[in-house]
Amino acid sequence: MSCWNTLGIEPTPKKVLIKKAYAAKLKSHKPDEDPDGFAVLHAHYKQALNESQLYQIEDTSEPRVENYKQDKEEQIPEGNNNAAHTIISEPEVIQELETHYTHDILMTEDEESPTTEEYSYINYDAEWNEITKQINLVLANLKTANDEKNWEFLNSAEALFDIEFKAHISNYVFSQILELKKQHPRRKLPIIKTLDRFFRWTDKRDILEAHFGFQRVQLLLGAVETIGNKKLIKWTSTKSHNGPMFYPNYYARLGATTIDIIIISFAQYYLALAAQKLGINNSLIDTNSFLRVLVLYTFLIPIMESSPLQGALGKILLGIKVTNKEGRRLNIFQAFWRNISYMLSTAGFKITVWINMFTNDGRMLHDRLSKSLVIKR
Amino acid sequence: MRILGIDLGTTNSACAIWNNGKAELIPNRLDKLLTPSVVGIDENNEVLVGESAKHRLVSHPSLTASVFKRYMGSEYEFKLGKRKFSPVELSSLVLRSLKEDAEAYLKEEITQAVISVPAYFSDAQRKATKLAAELVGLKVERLINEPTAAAMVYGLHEKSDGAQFLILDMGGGTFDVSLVEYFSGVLEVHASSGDNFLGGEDFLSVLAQKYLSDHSINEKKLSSNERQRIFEMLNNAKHQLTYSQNVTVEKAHKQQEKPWIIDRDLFLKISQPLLYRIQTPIERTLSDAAITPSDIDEVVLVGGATRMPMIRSLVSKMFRRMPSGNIDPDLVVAMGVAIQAGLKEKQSDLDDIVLTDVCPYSLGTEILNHNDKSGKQGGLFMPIIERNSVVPTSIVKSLCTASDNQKELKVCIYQGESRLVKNNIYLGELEVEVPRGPKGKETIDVRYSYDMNGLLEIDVTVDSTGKTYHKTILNTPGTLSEKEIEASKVKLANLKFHPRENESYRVLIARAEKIYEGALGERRDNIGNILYQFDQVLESQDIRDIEKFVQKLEEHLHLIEQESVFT
Repeated sequence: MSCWNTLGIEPTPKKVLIKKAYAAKLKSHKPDEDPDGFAVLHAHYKQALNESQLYQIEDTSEPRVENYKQDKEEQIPEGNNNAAHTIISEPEVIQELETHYTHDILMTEDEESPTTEEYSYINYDAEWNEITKQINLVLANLKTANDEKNWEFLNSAEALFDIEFKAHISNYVFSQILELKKQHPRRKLPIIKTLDRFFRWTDKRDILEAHFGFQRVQLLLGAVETIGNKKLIKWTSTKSHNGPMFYPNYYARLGATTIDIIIISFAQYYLALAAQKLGINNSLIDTNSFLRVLVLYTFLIPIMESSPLQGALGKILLGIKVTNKEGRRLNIFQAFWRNISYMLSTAGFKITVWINMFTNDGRMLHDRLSKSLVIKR
Repeated sequence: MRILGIDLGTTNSACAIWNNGKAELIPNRLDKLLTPSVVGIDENNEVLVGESAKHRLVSHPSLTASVFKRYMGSEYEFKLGKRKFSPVELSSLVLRSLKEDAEAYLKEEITQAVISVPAYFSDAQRKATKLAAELVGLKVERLINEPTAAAMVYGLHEKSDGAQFLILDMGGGTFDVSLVEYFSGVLEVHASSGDNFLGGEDFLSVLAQKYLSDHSINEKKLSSNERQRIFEMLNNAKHQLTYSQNVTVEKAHKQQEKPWIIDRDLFLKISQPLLYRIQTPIERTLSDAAITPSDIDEVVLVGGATRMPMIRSLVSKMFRRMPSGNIDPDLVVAMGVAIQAGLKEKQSDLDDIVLTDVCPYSLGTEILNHNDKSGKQGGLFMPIIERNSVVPTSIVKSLCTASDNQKELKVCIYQGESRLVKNNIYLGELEVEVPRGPKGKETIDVRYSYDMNGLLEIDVTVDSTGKTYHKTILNTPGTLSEKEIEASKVKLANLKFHPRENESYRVLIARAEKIYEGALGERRDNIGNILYQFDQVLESQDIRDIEKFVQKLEEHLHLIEQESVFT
């Protein structure tokens, strides 16, 4: 059934008629009473609105305002954005963008609103030329580009308050920074963080990705933390791990253990020194350094793993943590048992390594014995 | 059966009802239309809500909680004395108070309500709101998005056919943007977006940071009394800045030696990072609706924070026109909710009004290989319901196993727009068992249904076994089990409440105590004496004496406040 049948009208270019018909039909297919009927009606309504544009060209009785706007559009002075065309890598997209931009600006300029006078002194074409010129100047080399002070003009530019104008400038700066990054692929651009605060790029990453492609956006924004979305998760994860669990690979875990052992070796050395200085003479802690490492390891690691840190320093540094199967923190006994089973299994021909090769979640023998998990933070 | 419309706000709440063809706001026990969303416990273990609790924020910060709406749907707990309260329980205490006021006003029992939530509230936050109402015996007939509610009021009032409104709703804690069109009795939301962490409270905290750094005070070392006092005084200063160019803050902390002057320009400068954030949701809404600022007929400001001159001037610069807001921005949402309540009641005067809303964010699933050994699980986000789809909506997508002999499929549910799930908000997950087989052979159908309340339901069907799973979302923060809900109900039922009739005295005492905290020397003794006398008079239970004393006390407190707080 065609969308026009659903709406009960003849195909028409007039959106007003479509909306009227939709409104009439909607009264008998209200979204909360007839969700299925509403879904069909709404889809057909949208379709009708789309199709109506096909008839638009033939229609002669176009609203007067439209004509007026078109007249205005023709008056756009040409060639005012030369700079942009030469530098941007995707000329078609940008060109489209720019005509769109000038078009809109002109449309609103003469509109009758109480504050027109207040803003009419801003010549947006001149502003565009002025601001892009300044941007190019700042972006001339890495040193000036990375100097925050050079960007302060953005804050004082009155035209940048305009939401559309700012959006276009934002895209322009983004494309220019991309160019700069291409020229100096190995150099860092800390200024991106400042610009991100101003243009909110990380907030609208998806829009940028649609424009510039995922890879390019990642190239520039990869280093910038996305704070906005993570907030929710951060303060909810006080008790249990929030979100799906990711298992670290074997090397991360090996690295964590190595870091811990190195730290403990140093610690035992200084402890022994301190004991000597204080004149504590116990033959046991005095003589055997291996024993000291063992004792420290047996007590320190479980305490840290069952603490809110959920791991010793090595694990913290490598961004992994120990949890029980429900993603909650281990209790002290479980942590002790985990540690003892670790030592036993390492002593027994490195069985931990072998068992890890046959499992698909990277859980080693001592993880299984102590019913714990090691996951990414 | 009447349905109550409730605007449960971050700083203030209000309720209204559809009556005789218009939204009627319901005054609370103090005859005010706004009830502060603050909950406290007093020395007798009695619960206080609203004005009196708000005054006690300064004098008894450890026994009072505010801004809990921000923590809805999380595991955060508020400590009031020795007791712990979840944000849901605190919200339900506010709802309880509103319910009592409405029952007293309408002289009938109320068991149904329509409650407004920020458009950008997630599934967990919406569920938490619904639960809060259920805890006090209110059945939620509908959760309505706040900007949509405001749009209803403007749509019905202006009655201009084919008008497009852009609603900018900034309350105490959240910022929402909605593009709405009104034609022939249909109110259609075209697109909606928002920021859940941008509101009046953030501007206050910026101001507080500035104050603290100017006086080199370490926030962590402040006692909660000192902290609340500073925040209270700065909050007043923030409000004052709406009407005057600069405000002088008298001694808010002992380290402050001379009056601290803040003017609009300075406030604007330090708030700049927040102002940048306003732009994103607006831009997103416009681009989603494929509309340019010039197509908008009216930019409407809603919510208390939009009173700030800097917001007004920013918006007028953004759109090159003056925003309108001729209806009280604090109350317009409550009025809109009442209209929705009237619609739900099927009131004849709203017969030809239909409202359609959208889902403001994309909802989808993670496509991953969760049995991956190396830890590189893909982590890609596949939207199932695209943002700004009209609701209710129900969409099915087919997924298949990613590795050989896979025993189970994990459907992780995310909300957001990023291509990578790690940048999106995690909502929960669902585990589905599938027969073992080569990868790609086993398929499941995942159905996401998003209803009019903004609540998400998920159904999964395994194609080969025909087994179905339904919304057993695991691991969601802040959701409670049946048992926990029962425990909460019992806990709330066991609380003692201060009698409604005496509320105005309570407020007066709390106010006097607040001034007592801030005063020194003679003045302090003076207030102490008055409070003691007031206790005596109250005990006498002689209404005439009490009334007389109350009047005297009110005048006295007013005088002191005038003198001491601001010049």
